[in-house]
Amino acid sequence: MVTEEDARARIGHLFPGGLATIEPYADWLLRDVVGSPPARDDLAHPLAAFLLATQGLGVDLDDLFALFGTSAADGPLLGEWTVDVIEPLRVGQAYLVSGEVAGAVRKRGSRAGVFDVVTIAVTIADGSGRPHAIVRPAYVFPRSQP
Amino acid sequence: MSTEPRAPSHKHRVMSIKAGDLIPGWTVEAVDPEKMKIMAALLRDPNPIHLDPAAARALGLGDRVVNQGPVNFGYVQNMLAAWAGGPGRIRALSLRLTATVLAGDRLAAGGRVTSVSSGGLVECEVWLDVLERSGSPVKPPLRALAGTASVRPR
Repeated sequence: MVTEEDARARIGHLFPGGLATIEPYADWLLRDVVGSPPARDDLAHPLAAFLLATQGLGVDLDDLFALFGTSAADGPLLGEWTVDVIEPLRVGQAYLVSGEVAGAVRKRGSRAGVFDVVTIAVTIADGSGRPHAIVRPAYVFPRSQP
Repeated sequence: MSTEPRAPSHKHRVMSIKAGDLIPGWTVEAVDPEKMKIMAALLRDPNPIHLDPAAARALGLGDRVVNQGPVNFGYVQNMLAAWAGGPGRIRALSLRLTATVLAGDRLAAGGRVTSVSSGGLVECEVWLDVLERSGSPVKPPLRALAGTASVRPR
């Protein structure tokens, strides 16, 4: 099992990052998934922040899980999600995405057993590097049954 | 002279919002497992609990596939966007996942204004509740998401 120290040592780990764009079809599909009305302009559905952060991080979720010694089969969960929007995100605009591990905390619960809460900070910026949104997903990685 | 009522100006709209106001809810009649497959493809999410009921069962999460957390966020965002005048009106959102949402669940997103700044920024508490599961009412409703939002209504 990954030790608490191993998990904490990942804090500050930089992900490759990269360019990401919400294509019109992706915005359409996002709206379809959540039952949102069709777009009236080029503003993306606000859930696009999650998609951009995931697409632009430069690694798959499997890679993210592997960084912390876990996999999809172990039942990782998204525990918390925060977004701060500086400028609404737009369909068709290319964004620079960068991300790092912002936190890793081991917790113990009477029902959940031992688990790690890993927070990733992802910045979605325009071509000049000006942030348009900052997204912080926190994943829960189960380590043992109670 | 026109006798048609005029829409309230932005200033008047925001001034009429006050702490304690309830945000009109957003209801999902039944969570569709087919939408989970689309979301898994969009996110390249390999977690089988969103695709295969057996995988959810093996992890003790129930007999049906589990909705992706981000999809649940989207329901809350729909509610806020509809109330505030568009998706660009949501300035911040922070959500904690407190229970899983399963295929077929009936849901309601809700919210309440907690404060209004002089600059027109409205702070809210928001939530997503499971109202029905397997065709039976969930009493009291199961809170699946809880959090806060900052919006700038039109």
